[in-house]
Amino acid sequence: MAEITVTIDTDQQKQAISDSFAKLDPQYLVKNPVLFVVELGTIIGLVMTIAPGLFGATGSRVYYAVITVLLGFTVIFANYAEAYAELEGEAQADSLRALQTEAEGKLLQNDDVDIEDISEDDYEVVASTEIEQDAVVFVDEGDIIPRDGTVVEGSASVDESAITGESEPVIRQSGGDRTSVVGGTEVLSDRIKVEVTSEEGESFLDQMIGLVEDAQRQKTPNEIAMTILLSGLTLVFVVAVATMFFFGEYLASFVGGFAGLDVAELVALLVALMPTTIGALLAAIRVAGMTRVTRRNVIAKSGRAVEAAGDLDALILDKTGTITTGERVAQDFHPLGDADDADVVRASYQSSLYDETTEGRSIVKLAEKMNGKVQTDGGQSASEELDEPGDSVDAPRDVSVTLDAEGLSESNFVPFSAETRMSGIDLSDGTEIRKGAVDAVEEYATTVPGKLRQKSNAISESGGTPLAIAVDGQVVGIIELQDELKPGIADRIAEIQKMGVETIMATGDNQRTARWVADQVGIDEFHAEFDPEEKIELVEDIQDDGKLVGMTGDGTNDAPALAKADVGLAMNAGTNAAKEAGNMVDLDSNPSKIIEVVGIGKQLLMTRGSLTTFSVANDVAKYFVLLPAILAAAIPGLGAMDILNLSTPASAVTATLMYNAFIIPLLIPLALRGVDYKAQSGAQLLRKNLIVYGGGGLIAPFIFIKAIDMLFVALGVFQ
Amino acid sequence: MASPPPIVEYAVFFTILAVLVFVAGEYLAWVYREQANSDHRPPGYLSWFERLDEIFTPIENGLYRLSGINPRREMTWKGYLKAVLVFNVCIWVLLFVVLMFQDALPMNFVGVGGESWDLAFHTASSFTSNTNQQHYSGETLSVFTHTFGIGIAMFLTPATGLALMPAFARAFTNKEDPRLGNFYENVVRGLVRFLLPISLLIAIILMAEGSVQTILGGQLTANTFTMGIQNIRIGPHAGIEAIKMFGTNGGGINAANAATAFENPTPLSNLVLTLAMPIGTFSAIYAWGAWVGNRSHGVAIVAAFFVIYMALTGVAVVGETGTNAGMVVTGNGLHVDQTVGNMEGKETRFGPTASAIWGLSTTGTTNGGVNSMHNSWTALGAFSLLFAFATNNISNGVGTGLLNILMFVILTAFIGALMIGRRPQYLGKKLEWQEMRYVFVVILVLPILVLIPQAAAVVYQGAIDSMNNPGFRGFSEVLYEFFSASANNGSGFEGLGDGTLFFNLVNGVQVLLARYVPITAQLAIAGYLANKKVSPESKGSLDTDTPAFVGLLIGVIIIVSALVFLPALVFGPIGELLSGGI
Repeated sequence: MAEITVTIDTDQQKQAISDSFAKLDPQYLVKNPVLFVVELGTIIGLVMTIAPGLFGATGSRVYYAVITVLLGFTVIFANYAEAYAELEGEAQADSLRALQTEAEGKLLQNDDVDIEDISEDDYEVVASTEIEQDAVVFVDEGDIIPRDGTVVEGSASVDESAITGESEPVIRQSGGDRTSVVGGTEVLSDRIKVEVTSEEGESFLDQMIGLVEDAQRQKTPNEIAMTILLSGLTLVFVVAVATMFFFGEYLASFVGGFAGLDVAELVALLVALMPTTIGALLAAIRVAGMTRVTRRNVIAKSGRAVEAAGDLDALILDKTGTITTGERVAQDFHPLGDADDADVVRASYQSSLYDETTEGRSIVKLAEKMNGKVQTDGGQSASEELDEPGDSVDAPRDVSVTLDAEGLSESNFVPFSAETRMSGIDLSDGTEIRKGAVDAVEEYATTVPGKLRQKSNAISESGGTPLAIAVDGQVVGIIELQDELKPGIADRIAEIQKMGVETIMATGDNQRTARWVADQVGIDEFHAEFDPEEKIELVEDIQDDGKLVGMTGDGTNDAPALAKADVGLAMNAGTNAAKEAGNMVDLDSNPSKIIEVVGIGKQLLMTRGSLTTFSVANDVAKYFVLLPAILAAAIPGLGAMDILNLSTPASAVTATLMYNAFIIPLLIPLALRGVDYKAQSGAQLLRKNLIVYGGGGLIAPFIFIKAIDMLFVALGVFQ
Repeated sequence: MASPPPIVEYAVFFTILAVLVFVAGEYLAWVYREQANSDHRPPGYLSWFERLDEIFTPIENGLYRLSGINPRREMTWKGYLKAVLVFNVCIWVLLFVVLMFQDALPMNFVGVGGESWDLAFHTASSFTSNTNQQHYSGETLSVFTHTFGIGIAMFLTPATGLALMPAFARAFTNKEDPRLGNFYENVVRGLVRFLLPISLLIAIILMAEGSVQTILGGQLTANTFTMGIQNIRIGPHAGIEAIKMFGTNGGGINAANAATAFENPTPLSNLVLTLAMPIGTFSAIYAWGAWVGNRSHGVAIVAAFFVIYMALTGVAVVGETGTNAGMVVTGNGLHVDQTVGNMEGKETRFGPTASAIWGLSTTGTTNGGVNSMHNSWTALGAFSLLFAFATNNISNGVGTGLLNILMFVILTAFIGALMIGRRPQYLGKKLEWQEMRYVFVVILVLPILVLIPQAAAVVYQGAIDSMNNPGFRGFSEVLYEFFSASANNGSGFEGLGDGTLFFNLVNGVQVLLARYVPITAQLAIAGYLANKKVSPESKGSLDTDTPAFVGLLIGVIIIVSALVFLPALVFGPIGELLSGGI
């Protein structure tokens, strides 16, 4: 997977700073009620700085100026958090766009010419930008495909690593599910005719990136609920603090030497109590969450899709491509007759040494892996027991055997032929080794052990493929092939199950193969002999149980299910229908990436929840600091509440406002990165986050405020 | 006889309460099982509840036939709300008419007059809303008014509250089905199976302990040692007292409420009545767990509220068994023995501890009955009373209490789910902005209803003139009055001349808004949620029965609800406490 990293340079920093001032526009800020109230408070502070005695207050102009500046900083820091995240998101989108390299295209004059006969006379070389929609271009071996399009004739292997980061070339051909090609990718072999499907600048990728950018600006449904919550809290505190002014007037009527509460200090109290921290970071958390998805080369068309990913109850995973690589690999060697482990391993190794097929290479690899391990059980071979096939994926049996590649150089490799349905090797000493389908080898061999059938049937029944191997006409054993699992997939599945997500595998393969794969990786539920068209029913069945379901897909027949699923991750290599139906597109076309997207979705929600808890928990400390400070003149006894023992009321108010403003930039990195997330059960996560963010939220302001106060004492200000 | 040590009284009370909450909770869960759409069954040893059908079903069927109620007619949230409002308007009109014209009605044995329009408005609103705030002295009502006005309202208003619970449970037990049940059926079941039989039991205990119970006379003439002839008002004391306590009502026949011997004669009757207050509200929370199929969740919420309740009761006991700063006399050589605690305004048959426990039972629910003079409490004790108000009366009222508590629980589930990376969900229903908007409406009601009038009152000379002790204590007197009205509690701090046009109107509006705005919002929430799909809980969901959840719930209640009132409390009891005087 190619991870796109974006660095924000100083120009962009400047841009973010200027954006933070532009966002002071009340018409813009009113969308964030928390910050809007802070801005109104700043204006009150400003008025009091100009006319300190306005509300009967007695503080100095400098004090009010300090309060005003700190309130202003609170808003600007909040705006900066948002602007910075937006710039990062834009930069991310630009870097995706840059993937589409400029190229030239061979515009066909006449598209009836047979693809094999196209010569230089049949096309005109033009810049890719000049090619119109529906035009047909010719792409020869070594050419860059100029624009997004559909293969209308021919078939070619295409290097899409520029888009996907996947180095393995893919086949693109006319007809079927593999017709779509992406501009900027290179044809490695063969030639194709491509009908251009998009206008310049409106390629599929362009449109997708446009969607991402829109989505980053839209509040998600959960964020709207959160905004209501924060607005509600703000309103509560506005009532609580505004009424204090009148309570102060009442107090002034019977407490000598007290003339009422200072309006600027009340504004300071209000802003301190309001959930400014989370209010400031809410937008940045959303944008950063989307950016984290983009960074993994997944285009999420809406923020809702990312949040839904965090909330999935079930994931439908295709077998091939997601859990298995689609290749079959050697899983085990089973000796037969008089042969022992060493015989069958050596024979298999030798016969496959020059076999370049995936199967052949996997046999060599497995033999090498088994060799060299010390034989511990006195050579008791498994030959006579029908051990469960396939139960030794990670720990191949130890077999001591000399795998001698020397001497093989003069031997003669016999490639697979359709006629014999076998491949093998003729060694220089005349030994003839053949491997192939069981019935083919049976036909060829002169000595067939009685257990061959029994054993090979057992392997088939467990979902594997048996290959018989014979040395000089004598069957020595069976090589068991199984679907190759994607590396680390079992761990990923275990991880996602730990998050409480049910995993469901769907495959067109037979029951036995499906069961074997499901058992290997610990899938909760599987559907074998599954018709892709049934996927929509499967999705609906799961949704009827009230569950949120995610799936991946690439074919046109996946499109209805992709659209129906709560999270539909379409593969970029798939058809346009699939890509339009899904609410996310993976540019790497790696279906197992949906597991990562689930983690990102959870992290997005967790960051929002944890920072809210932190922000609101801060209020406890702020009450303890500000109430005694503001009421110092009215109720001197309230000093008992001042557990921090701060130097002066002015210092307490200033320190609290400083903490309140500067905690925002301090938390920007956390908001952008997201809180740490490890797959854990809900109960564990709640306990952990409650301690870190709830407990931290209670303690942090006490520490910071006391530290700032001590600094003021050291500097001799507010004393 | 010496009282047991405070810690013993405290421990005995909460132990008995916990057992009773469990039994009454299972019983209440059984009462509304079908109406809540729940497949709950009582545990084996309580299965005899089900045999009670033989007694109750015929009574209910008789009532349905008599009143023309069709219990199978289901209502959506709007229909349900309409039924609640219509039913409550009827109660209000009944009360208003009886109160204004009681002089012309029968059974007026001592010749009391009708109430003025503003007082009748306040009284009718206060009793319709299950608040029972009294701006009159109980002695100014006739036996007819007590029996057929106040007495009936005391049964019908908690029944209204009870009827809301199964409807709200439907929000979570329904699968995409907007029907919440039949309001009138739920009222009848609550009356027949819960309020009437248990009140009867309490009334019998009270009569055995010496309470009076009559509707045939208005007063008793006694020859006393010191004052010669004394006329003592009598009436249906035992019956009214039972439902007054059990139905979170609180308005007594005597001005001195449960401090008088006819309402609350002995320490045993005092214990029974103290227990009667929180049983209805806490058993409803327990029943909630049973209805939604997760008893341990019910227990978790009960635990969270028990923590707050026990902590504040502890503060009150410490405050009231301590010394009263106002009674420490220096200078003239006299001194008051305060070794047993602050006895000012307390009955000697109860003492400071039992009075403190009662105080938090009455403000920890929306009851409002009193057995001591709250204005005579120490600053610390008064703080605990007002803090209980600030949490919206901890467990609040019968029926409405559960719904109000669930607002905090939903808010906790919202935050908690986000903290574990899930979209907010409670009991399988997704929480979106539509519901959260109404949750906040409910949460905003108390601060707005209390603080804004408070700000007006403390700068309005007419209100200041009503204070007995202008200063911090006067601030508390008004704050208590507004809290008492806006939290539908009804108890009086006293020391405030509250029978004025200003307080009648302000408090009258407060009690109505405090009752019906949340009910409307809560039924709307139920309507939204009932129509949603049920998403199953998984290992990745928020567990709503863990200590972490209980901790988060307590945190949410304290920060979102109670701390909002901290500035106001600073100007009242905290200021008084820290300044060392009223």
